Amino acid sequence: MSVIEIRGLRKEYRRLRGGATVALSGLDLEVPAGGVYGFLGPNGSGKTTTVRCLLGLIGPSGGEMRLLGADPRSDLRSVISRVGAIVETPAMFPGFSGRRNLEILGRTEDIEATRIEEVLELVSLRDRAKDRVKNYSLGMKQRLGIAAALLKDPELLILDEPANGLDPAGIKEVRELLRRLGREGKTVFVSSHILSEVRQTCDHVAILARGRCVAEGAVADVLSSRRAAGITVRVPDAAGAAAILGDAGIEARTDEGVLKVALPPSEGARVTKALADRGVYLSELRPDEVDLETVFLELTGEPPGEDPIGEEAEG
Amino acid sequence: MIASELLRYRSRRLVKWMTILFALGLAFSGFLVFINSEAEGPAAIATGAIESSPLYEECISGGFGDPPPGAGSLEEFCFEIARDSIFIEDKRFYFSDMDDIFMGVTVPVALLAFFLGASFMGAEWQKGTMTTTLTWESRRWTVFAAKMAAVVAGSLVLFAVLQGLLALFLLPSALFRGSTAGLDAAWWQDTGATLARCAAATVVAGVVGMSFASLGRNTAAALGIGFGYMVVLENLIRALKPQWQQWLVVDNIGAFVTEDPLSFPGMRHSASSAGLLVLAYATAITVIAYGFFRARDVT
Repeated sequence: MSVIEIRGLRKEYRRLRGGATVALSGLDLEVPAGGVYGFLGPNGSGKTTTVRCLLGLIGPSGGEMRLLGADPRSDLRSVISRVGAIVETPAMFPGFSGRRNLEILGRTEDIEATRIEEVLELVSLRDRAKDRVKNYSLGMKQRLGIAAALLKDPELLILDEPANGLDPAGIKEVRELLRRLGREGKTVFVSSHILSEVRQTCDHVAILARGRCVAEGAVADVLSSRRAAGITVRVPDAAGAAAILGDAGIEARTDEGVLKVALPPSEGARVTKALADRGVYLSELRPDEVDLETVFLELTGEPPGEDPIGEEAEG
Repeated sequence: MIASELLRYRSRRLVKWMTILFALGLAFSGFLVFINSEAEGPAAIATGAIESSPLYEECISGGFGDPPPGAGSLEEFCFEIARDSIFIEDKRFYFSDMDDIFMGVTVPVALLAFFLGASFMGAEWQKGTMTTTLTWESRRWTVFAAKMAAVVAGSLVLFAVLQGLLALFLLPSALFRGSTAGLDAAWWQDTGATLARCAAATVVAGVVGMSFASLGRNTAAALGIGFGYMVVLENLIRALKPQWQQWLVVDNIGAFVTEDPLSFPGMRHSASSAGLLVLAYATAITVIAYGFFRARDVT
């Protein structure tokens, strides 16, 4: 069963001086129930627009959506209590304490005080719950946002750039929390432009570029769908073998004791022959592993976000 | 949802501080009234003032000769002479005047309610918390109605607290430097009706402030629209189109609250009609604000 289904979603923002900015141009997406789903794309690719459409915050220009089986445009009310969400930087009332912010939200759904303490504990904010939010660091605000999203004990958690502003320890905590929630059977939909976050956290991934989904599926499947760019060869003397291959007109370099050959895996026989002709016998030959960075770059044509700290999400 | 919004309204530091500041202002006013009031009525004050006047002193010492026949004793004769030279004001504080004082204080209380209503909604947009709220309650009419209910309740409590404090701060002046005479059933009835009209005006101000902030999506826009209209536009209309004056919001609120439409130039309808007209204006603004709130993207 899919918790999120999107077909041909379009969103255009009309400009005052005429014309329109296209944020989503026919997005298709299907998020299975359970586990952590990464929604990856460079800034401006339409991630936040998609999240806002799903949560009824903006009206799409066209297409179909289903959130937990309901159409967000007409029946969001029936499912919103089963969805916890953070959209961009979680906005809280700065003059109130963290606990008071959660109390205000909790009253909307008659959530008990014990649950508020539970989620504060879960995000390690209980000691600072009495402090006013305006005195929180960006990371603490982010954790409070996650606490707010978890308050309803939702089936589906939609988190837009949850690692924004977190320090490395905070990122690790959030990552572990998301994985744990995924293992517990909840669906966690994480939008991010940080590849390492998605790679280490998610079971499934969709890659978004210019308002369209350009790849979708289990992380392993998305990786295997892309062509490996080279061959890794293990030989007793990597430097010597590199020289032999160079003589044979094959580009190669050594890397931590192995040989990296710039040939597609389908031309592995050329490598074997060139080395064997010079009496060098290899102990291993395998295609290079395709990493998500490569896939991302190939699909989106843009370099992925690298710095997980202090970046502003605009997607 | 309403409970959540009420909690937020009463938790706001701005509400607390503005109420405290206003209450301090009222306390200071009560103090000024107390020290400027006098316990004795004009007759008693006059007796003391006349007897200590130079004219009386001169007369008593024989400066005007003996009293003519029928003028009574020398003291009575001199008192009559000196009395005409002195004007004595009644400086006692009459609690029965509270009716007018409540009406006067309603003007700043309503402006405060407008500001707090605008800030209540404006802060949501400026801080981005509207997005968070809408991820909890997706029905926009529920969110808007709950916020409006909080503003209505908050404005009423604000009005009750401030007018109650005003009465409390002025009570010592009435008890010790004035009078509580005249507080009969008719007075209570009239004053109750005045307070009800003043409270209605305060609530309308709060709701309109909230609606303006919803349209402009920030507090400053609401204040700009509100004061720009009241200070600039209405005065321009008064100057350039006096025949339209009877339709102006401020004049109609004034006519409704004071129940005296004849005090407002050009007003040709009754106080209750003025009240209904104000209600119609407020309803129209609120409906427009809700329409935009419902239809616009939250980005």
